[in-house]
Amino acid sequence: MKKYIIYTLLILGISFTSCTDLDISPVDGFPENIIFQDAEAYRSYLAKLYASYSLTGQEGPSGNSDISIVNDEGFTSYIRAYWKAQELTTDEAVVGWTDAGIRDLHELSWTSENQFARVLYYRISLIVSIANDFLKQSTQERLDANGIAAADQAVIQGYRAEARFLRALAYWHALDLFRNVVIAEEISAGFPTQSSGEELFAFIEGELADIEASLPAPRQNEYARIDQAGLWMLQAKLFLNAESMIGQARLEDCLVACEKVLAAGYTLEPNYEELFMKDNHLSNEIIFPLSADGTFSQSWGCTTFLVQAAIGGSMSDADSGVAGGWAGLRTTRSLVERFPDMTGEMDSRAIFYTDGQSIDIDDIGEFTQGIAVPKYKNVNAAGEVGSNNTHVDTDYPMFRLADAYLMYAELAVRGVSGADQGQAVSYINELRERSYGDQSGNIESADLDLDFILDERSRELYWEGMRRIDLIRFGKFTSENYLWPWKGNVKEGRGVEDFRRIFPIPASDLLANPNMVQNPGY
Amino acid sequence: MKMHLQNYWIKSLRGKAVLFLSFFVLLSADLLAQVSGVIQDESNETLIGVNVFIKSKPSVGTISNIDGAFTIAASPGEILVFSYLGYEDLEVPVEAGVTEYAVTMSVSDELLKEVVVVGYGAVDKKDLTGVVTKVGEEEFNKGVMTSPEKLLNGKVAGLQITNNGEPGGGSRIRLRGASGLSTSPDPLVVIDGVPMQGGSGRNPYSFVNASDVADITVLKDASATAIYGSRGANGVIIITTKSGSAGKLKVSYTGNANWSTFVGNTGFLSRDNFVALVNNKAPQALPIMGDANTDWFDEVTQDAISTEHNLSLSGGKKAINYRLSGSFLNNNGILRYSKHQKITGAANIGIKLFDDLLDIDIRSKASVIDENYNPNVTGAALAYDPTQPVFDTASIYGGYRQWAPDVLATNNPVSTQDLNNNVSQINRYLNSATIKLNLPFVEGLSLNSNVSYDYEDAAGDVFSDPLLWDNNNYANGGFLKNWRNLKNTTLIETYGGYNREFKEIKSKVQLTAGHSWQETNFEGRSDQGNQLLQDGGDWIYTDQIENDSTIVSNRLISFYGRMNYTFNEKYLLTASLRRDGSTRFGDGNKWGLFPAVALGWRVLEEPFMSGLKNTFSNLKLRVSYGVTGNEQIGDFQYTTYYSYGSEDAAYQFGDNYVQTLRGRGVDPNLKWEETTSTNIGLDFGFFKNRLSGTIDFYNKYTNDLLFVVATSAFTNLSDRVLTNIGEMENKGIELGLNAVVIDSKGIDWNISLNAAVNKNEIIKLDNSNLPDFLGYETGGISGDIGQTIQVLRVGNPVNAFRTYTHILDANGLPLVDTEDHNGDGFINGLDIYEDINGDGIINENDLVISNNGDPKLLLGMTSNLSYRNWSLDFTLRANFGNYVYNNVASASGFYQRLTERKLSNVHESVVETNFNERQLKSDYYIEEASFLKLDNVTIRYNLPSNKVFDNMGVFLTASNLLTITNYSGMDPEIPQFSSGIDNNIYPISLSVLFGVNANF
Repeated sequence: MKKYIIYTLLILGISFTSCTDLDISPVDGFPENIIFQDAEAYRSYLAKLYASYSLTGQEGPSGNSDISIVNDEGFTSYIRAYWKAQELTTDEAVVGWTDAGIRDLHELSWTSENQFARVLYYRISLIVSIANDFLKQSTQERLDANGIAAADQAVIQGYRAEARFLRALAYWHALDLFRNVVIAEEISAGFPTQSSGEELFAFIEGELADIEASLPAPRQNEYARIDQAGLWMLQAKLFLNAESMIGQARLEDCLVACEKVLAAGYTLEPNYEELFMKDNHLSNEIIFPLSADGTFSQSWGCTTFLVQAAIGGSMSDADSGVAGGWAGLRTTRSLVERFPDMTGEMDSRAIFYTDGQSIDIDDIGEFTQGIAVPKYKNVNAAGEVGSNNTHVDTDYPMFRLADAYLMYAELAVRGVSGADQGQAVSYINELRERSYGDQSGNIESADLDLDFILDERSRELYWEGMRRIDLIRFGKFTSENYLWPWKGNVKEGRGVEDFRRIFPIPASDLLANPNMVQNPGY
Repeated sequence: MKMHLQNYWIKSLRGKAVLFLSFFVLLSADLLAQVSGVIQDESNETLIGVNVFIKSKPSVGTISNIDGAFTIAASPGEILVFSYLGYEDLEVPVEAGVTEYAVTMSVSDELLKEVVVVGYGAVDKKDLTGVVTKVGEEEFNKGVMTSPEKLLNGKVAGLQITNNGEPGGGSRIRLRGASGLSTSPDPLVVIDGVPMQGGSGRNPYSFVNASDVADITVLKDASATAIYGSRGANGVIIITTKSGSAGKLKVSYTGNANWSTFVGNTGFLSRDNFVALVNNKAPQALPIMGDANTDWFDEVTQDAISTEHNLSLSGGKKAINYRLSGSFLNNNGILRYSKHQKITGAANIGIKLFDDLLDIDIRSKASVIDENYNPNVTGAALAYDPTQPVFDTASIYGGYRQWAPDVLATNNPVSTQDLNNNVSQINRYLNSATIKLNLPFVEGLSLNSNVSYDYEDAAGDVFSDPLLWDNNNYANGGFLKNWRNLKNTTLIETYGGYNREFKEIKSKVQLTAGHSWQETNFEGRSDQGNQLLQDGGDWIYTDQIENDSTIVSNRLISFYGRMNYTFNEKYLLTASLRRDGSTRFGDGNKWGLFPAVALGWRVLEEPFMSGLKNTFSNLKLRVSYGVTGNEQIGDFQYTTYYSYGSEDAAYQFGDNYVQTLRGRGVDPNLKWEETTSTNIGLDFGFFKNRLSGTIDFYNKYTNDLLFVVATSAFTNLSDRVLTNIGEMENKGIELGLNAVVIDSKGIDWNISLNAAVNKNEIIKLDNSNLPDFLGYETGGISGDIGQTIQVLRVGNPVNAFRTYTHILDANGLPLVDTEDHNGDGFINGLDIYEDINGDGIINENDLVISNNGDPKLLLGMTSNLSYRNWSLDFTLRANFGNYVYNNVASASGFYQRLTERKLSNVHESVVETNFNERQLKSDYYIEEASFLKLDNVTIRYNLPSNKVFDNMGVFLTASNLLTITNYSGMDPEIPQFSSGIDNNIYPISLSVLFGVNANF
């Protein structure tokens, strides 16, 4: 009898030892209430927000992607997708690849399933969400609850302004590209409502005004972080394009912002080519860069894409400081002929490669048709190669002083009171003296008209992600009166419908959020 | 002759019936007498056609005539055997002087007596109320069975098992259609009472040696699976391994050698056709064309020889029994290097103590599996320019011809095979002990404890030679990764059983109640680097790029109970309840309750059926209802965790690079997926079970479907999260039939057939408050980045294809994409695709939803025929109504492909379509892929038993012998692994196996 009781107890004893404990946490990840007790975590989270513009995930160069809706991580780089949307859609660039939808960009024939537009849309969305979560994790209440020291709290308050700037920057891109999107200020479940372009414009304007005083003065922040000058550049662009985007003339406000930038102590880089070389972080012209590094900041996007996708044909990889080219990007006759000669002898901004390349394009798929553009390089002026010959060190100049010069000149031509015509000519000539090496390329006041401004912006800023928005502002993007090779998918070019001035809302978001309405025309 | 006589005398002196007796008997026929008689059953009906033979000389026999009478020549001392289907065999000794015998045979209830394991216990088959199918060893598939579930392929109605063709490869297992989308759709596999929590290697179950398996029971409906609660939604497969039994030592050996070779059509152009096409369509590429003649597919494949040996020892005494077994398998694939090698050992020991009051059952399995996962280079081999040689002595890339430094062109597939190495070794031990105490104070009460520990230590290396050219490898000086994963699962269960018959109230009661605690701990570590150097023969990296670790645990805690009640042998009731708690869900959603109830009615036992007892041998009606769940998702999906990025994905702040921190987007309200099932079924047997079967009608309705979907933009930290999205239904009919076609002297022929129809439909998507809600895109395809071909939409089956309707020409061929067919001045989508909504543009609104990749009808047929010492078995399987998207054709069947990446071979479909650009979403690539497969044919010869062997047989098995299909790709079935998208599957092979088995 006794032994049965013992066996019974033994068997029961084996079982009911641990009963109903379901409290388990992962060992290699941290919930918010633990991770943010460390002040350094906020710095790392802010770094993520910046990195989201240039990198693609948590592993370099790929392997732990931020975005999963497109299954090639390299495609998901913010700036790579942004660049394609702004440049491949214009006379400045074509690409030879045949990935679905990529040719549609230059043909101006994309649909709401275009994956390049989709990736950009979700990148914008992700930056907004990360910024919103950053702001939620760093409220005064949370900082106190997490026991963050007062000195650290002050620093983190500064981070908050930067996070709001980066959110506004992403929304600026959304306004330009997709126009009618959701304005979100927090992580949420469910289906938020769509906003109009006017509402989004007002949101961005308000945010920038709100945080201006909280950002460091020009050139006072750490390298690659935003300061007031970067914010003024964004304000200038917002107001400059207000008319073409939402029908409001805000050029006076643009002038105010431009003048602040012009007075902020930036100077032109003496050698134009060095703006796009590996040591461009040393330049005093670049106001806000996206950082890249071959060792510590690797991806298949950003400038790694811009350097390597532009190499093909008989070009030397080594001249650009990389191990190989992807044989994709070239330009059309339109850009080449905007310069006095394609060798760069006169205007050194004409950074073209012509050996074995034809100026005419019969087949966009052939790299040797169209002129190659090795503008971005992973070497410095002395020819020294970056730290890695696949992932480049060259930073992407998002805002630079020359753009402010040209915006000022444009305002003068557009007759904005306070924008001085003589000052405009002298800014333009500063740029031209740099590229001509002397005064042989200088212009006079009579040369200054809107067509000249548009062309000069292209000569100075080509392949810097500005062409599409400039063409739209000048009314030439969809126009049948302004053509380039293969515009509208015919060799000689043709006009397209005006609705293509903005991109469609991706079909996947129409599926995910029943409140979203497609942009007109799509 | 002298020898024979001598033998006779020796044996007869010992008074035994012996093998050679018959010779003497035949020689001395004068000793024989004619004996005769009449055979009846218990109700005095005469039995016609009963086999009557003499036990010592089976070749001497007769059958009873229409009056049940027989006559046979027999000598006194011999034993007459009476054998009749559906009746117990009867032996009657011939007595001297007696020539008339009245024989009464009794009905066999062997089938009904069978005991079936059902999870936490077993029940008599006749008392079952759920849909349960048991498959015994004699019915198992033959051939190289690298894991136990493969034994079942084609045997069970509604159970679909697809093998991926790799050596030791994994199986896609679907029972009654998948109940979920993102959750694992595989049934729960329970091995010797231990619910499995996955495993490493190609197949998580291959650590169990298939030849150790005694039987496999498949639980299909919720009343059977609800006892497994949150893991029962996709059904349960219970695998039981063989035990020893009391008796003398038995030794058994089985061995085989198997030869496999590629069969099928690769679908790409021959070299000559390729050269002609380049001349015609891409003459600008002629300068880079070579002059070699290389069959790249042939270069990367091989005929493979595999071998297997199994040895077991078993025996026992009254209080103890044992079975020890060991096996060795060397399974080579037809892609060079790919290999699965395994050594297993198992020991099952049963101990009974204290007059059977205490039963201890100990089961130990150990295995060492070596996998070689050489990359599947099929795609590259098909695409590579056939005019280029494999080797190029001038090449700096290890001597292999490459397109380098072009980074986008296809890499030489032979170099990919030769210069990569990806191997792992998996050591796995599963030990379990069940202790059953039959409590003496209350009759029928027992207490069970089941404790198991499943431990796995998997480690591997991934190596790329510094000379291997691919996108990054060469520039980075090679790649080396070492990884090691440790995983253990502990299960502690205790349950009580009460099992008693109360004759006075005609009731039988079986009660089970218990508690279960299962915890899995996983720890993964890896390090990897570039810039390899050889250090004394071993490669080491000098530039470490990653050092990673993952440590996660999950726990499942359960309480469960079940009652089986039988009244008057006619009315059956089963009710069960399980409460599961899982760490995979957030607070408020951790616990789930899973009830089930079932009723059975053994109609044949009713008095009004007594007149039909000659026709029917079994008739049982069953009805069941139950709720099961699915918790097979990743851990910690319900809450945002933040983790740091690697050092090479940091961001510059001033002079420093700051490691980034990222939180994962989640749905905090994630909850169990619940499947409610109903089932109505009938078991029947006719003519003494000569024909028997089961028919079932079922409905499985899943709520709170879990799926990874694109979140509404601007709302979440990830663009896609796992969330509950809607409801789905599977409904269908299953039929299983067993027929004894011939059962007469020397010849036995059994056929079993099964058929299943399943219809799947998405009923509701939570976002679909708008009537025109499009659904979710699924089914990523290759050939381009970010393209999908399927959709989840209400009213359609899961992953339905969604394509443009290609306009056909007069010959039924799709219009070419290079002509302005509609004459509008432009060549665009409108020229070749139907503008479904008529809005003048071709966009996603013109995509049309059609079928999906799942078969609508599954058929299986197994035939076992034996004649004397020969037997012939085969299995036929057919799928109907399954569609395949031929991604191999769509990704490379267009002319631009020729020169898109240097020079590439193209798919032969281009000859028909003349597509210039890729038309990935054309419905041209959707094909019906119904098929009939002759899976398995085995011919076996059993040698007569002799002094050395109890029995010995040799057999020849041919696998994948024949496939009849209209599908144009390599195989119509394997694409089901990827929901019907055919994309460079492991090349399929035909194999022939020669085997021997012997029992001593």
